[in-house]
Amino acid sequence: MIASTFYKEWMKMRLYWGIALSCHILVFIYIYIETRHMFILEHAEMVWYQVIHIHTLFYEQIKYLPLATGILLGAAQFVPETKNHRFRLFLHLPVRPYVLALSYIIIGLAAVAVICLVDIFLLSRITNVFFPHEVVVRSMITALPWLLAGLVSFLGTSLIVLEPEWPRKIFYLAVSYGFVWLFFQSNIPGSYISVIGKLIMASLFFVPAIFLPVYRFRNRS
Amino acid sequence: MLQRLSRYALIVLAILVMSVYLPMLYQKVFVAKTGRTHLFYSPVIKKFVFREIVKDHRFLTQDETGRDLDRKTFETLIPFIYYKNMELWGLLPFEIDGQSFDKETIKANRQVIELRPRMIADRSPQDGIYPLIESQPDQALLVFPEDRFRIADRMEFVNADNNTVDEGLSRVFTGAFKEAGFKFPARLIAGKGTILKPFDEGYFVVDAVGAVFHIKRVRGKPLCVRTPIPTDLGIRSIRISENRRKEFYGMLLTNSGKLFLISYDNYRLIPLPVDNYNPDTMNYKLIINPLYRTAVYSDKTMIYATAMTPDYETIAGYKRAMQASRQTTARTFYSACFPFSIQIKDHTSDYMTFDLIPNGWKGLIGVGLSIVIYLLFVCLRKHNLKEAWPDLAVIALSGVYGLIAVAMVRPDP
Repeated sequence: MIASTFYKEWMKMRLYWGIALSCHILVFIYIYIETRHMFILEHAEMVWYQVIHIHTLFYEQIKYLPLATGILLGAAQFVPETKNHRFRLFLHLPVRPYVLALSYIIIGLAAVAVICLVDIFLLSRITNVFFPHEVVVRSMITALPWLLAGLVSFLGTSLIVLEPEWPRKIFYLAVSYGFVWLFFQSNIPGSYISVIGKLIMASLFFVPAIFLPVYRFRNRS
Repeated sequence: MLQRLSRYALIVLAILVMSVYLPMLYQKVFVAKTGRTHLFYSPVIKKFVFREIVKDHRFLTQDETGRDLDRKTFETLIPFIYYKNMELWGLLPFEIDGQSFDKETIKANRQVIELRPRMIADRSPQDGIYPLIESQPDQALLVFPEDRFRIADRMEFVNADNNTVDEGLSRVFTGAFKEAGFKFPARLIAGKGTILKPFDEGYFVVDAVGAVFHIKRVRGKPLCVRTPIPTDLGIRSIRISENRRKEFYGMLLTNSGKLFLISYDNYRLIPLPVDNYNPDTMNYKLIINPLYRTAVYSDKTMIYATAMTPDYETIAGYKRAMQASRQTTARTFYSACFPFSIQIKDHTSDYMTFDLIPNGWKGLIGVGLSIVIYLLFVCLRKHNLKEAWPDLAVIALSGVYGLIAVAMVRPDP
């Protein structure tokens, strides 16, 4: 049953996932071209100075991309389910509702996570071409909160879409938006290293939180 | 059960988010921003004078005895700071204690060096790879080298043109370090990796056993000196600031909070006044003029100043509560309204924080009121109080945040 759910969810999301992945790859191609162009226009040591000392983020174009991807995939997965109360039918399958909801979340999170891993890989490859490994490591640390924002925005979107009542939807929107915004509070490379663990721990509360609108959806809609 | 857990997970998330943004919003809307106090030692009246923004862009300008000063008098009392205005007002050259000071003398003998908490090595992410600028360039301006160095188990130069290690240069500089007795790896690398400075003094590097080495690139070759700075000093941070006065290379901070200047006189350490100084929260500024040195350090609540002779002998001291620390109605209401806040940014560090800051006993007022409001709600709705106790516990722990969260995420019947 769970395997079938995974397959069904994948079939539903694959078009949007493909579009999102393509967008990410295109943005990284642009970052590569733009960075290469910087090295053509300026002496390499000056580009290094700007990136290492002045903290110019040559990969800033990806900043909100995981966030948008999380929202897109969350919506792609759950908006069709809430239309005509389709999700309610699934919640009456002979599987516990939270197990079913968890399987939905796992496949969605995995879809976002794979794109985030592709981002990490491409960012490290591009950075490694032009900069020393200190910059590669720092770029990874800098991009990490943006990627986490992608995962949290997926969970936040699921929470909002599944909630049947509008006042609560708005409250969940405020909570999710406020939480996700924590990942975008500093542009200083490496500044999140001290709090990333705490933010990950706090983000984990989103997983059990999603079960509440699932139950409410089943009981009310 | 799972439904209940799920609800409390949502409530915890809501409390976290509210405790970050609601206090921030309140501060922005209601708490008037007051500026820092600018404190100086007047070489004219031999007293401390200060200026601070009180409220609504009004200035309070006084000397240490409480005598009010107008702007022009204030500036003429610290003529080495406002020497350009002195020139405009036709007051240059002026005489103090029988000595005459013209514009050139003042310019050549003034310097300000500052150590802010975020400048301390462990309070900001470090670059990890640094440019070793040519100290004797064959042109008027400093230029960036084509390489940067790192120090792990050797000194390694990476060429920016091809992003590869320059083995030849790495060997030469590692050899110079080893010859001077350097024990790899480096504990601390301190320098000013910019060409926006009058000349270059290279880097001060603390080795694995705490010895301090001074490395420069002179005509492409290494100049490495083992300084006599004690190895057991416990160095926390070094801030280099090249200045044409060439009195000192920069400041050295120890783990115990002691602060020294590293002088050009064979790296002799000059101790600076540090009574009540907390390097993690206070900005430390050393203001140098032709007659006096003034150490001024402050945090949000207090400002301290010590005036010294050119030989760093203390002659006067002064302390004052900062305007920002004074209690206002808006600040009292803030403490009473929010039992705590989560601080995500700290002006003393470039690292993000996620720290819970309690607002003291006044926060209990807000908690008490929130509990009363919740109990009234329970009574009016005729809910069972026995079932409401977990919500009550949440409110008792988080005050207004908990009240809002519990009200918004009500349990399903």
